[in-house]
Amino acid sequence: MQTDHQSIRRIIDESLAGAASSAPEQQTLREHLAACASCQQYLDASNRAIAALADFSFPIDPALDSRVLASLARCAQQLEAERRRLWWPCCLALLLTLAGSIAASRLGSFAAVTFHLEPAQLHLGLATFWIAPSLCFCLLFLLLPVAPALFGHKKGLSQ
Amino acid sequence: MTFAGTVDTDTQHIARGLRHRDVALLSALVAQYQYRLVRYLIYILGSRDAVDDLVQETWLRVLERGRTYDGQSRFEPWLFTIARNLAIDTMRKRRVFSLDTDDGDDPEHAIVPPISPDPSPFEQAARTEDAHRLAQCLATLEPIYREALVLRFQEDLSLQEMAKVVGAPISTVSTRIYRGLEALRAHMEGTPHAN
Repeated sequence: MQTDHQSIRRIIDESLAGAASSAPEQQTLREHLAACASCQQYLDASNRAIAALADFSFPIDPALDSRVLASLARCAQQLEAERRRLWWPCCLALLLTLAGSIAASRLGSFAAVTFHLEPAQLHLGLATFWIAPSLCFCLLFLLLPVAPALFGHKKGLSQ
Repeated sequence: MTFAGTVDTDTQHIARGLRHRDVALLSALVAQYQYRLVRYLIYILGSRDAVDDLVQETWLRVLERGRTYDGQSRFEPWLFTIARNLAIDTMRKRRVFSLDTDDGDDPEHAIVPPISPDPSPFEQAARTEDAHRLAQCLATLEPIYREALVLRFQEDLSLQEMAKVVGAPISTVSTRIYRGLEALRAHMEGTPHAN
């Protein structure tokens, strides 16, 4: 009988905790509760405790909302200004990359003629060792604003 | 339209707003979730001392890291995860007690915060006789159990959502609910629970 009470109380706990219980378990629970005063009392005490948790009313500092909103507005402005500041180096880097690539391409064509090199190979080399790395470097500027979210999010506990 | 559909629309709307750092949306979120955030932090800290600062920090973090909210799940667990991480950082700095899962659920490994002579925030917030009876229990209950109780019975989070917030398996979360409930029940029945 003791085990029976324990298993019934386990079902009650699981059910209150939000775990799904099977239809036969629910049936057993109903039948047991109808006949067992102590388990019914256990359920009533649990429900009463849960209901009492709603009877707390924590006072909030009335100025808290306005403080939070003010700091949010300030922080949003700062983040936006930071984001805009990052656009200029990025645009400049992109511009320099394009100018450098065009200049390198012209010089490459000139060098290909002068030193009798294959133009296709030379352009491939330029694309691999000059243009692609420069573009990647430019992209790093674009990633800067989201870097904290990408790399520094989890602290202590996983989400 | 189904309820789930409405929730999806809401969460996606929130995710979009957070991506664009929409301050108007954040103001609405603050209005909607402020009390729940304060309550959650009081439950895990067991005091009001650092709550206001943590609330502010949490919303700033929401603004900064808003892009990481995908809008696929409810907003509350994501918000509480941020608040929890910040609260843990604060606790670690003070080295008062730990909510970390590394401590497991063994009460002997968790350091209970020192008992203050002032009435606990639970005693101050209790509005009924039953609540007053529980207040004493909540004040001395370990933070991990208080957290489980508030998330399950006040925030109505599912076990899966709770597991995500606390970074622990569902079985651990369930055990914390059972133990927390056991302590409350013992107080309701007048038998002090050995914490």
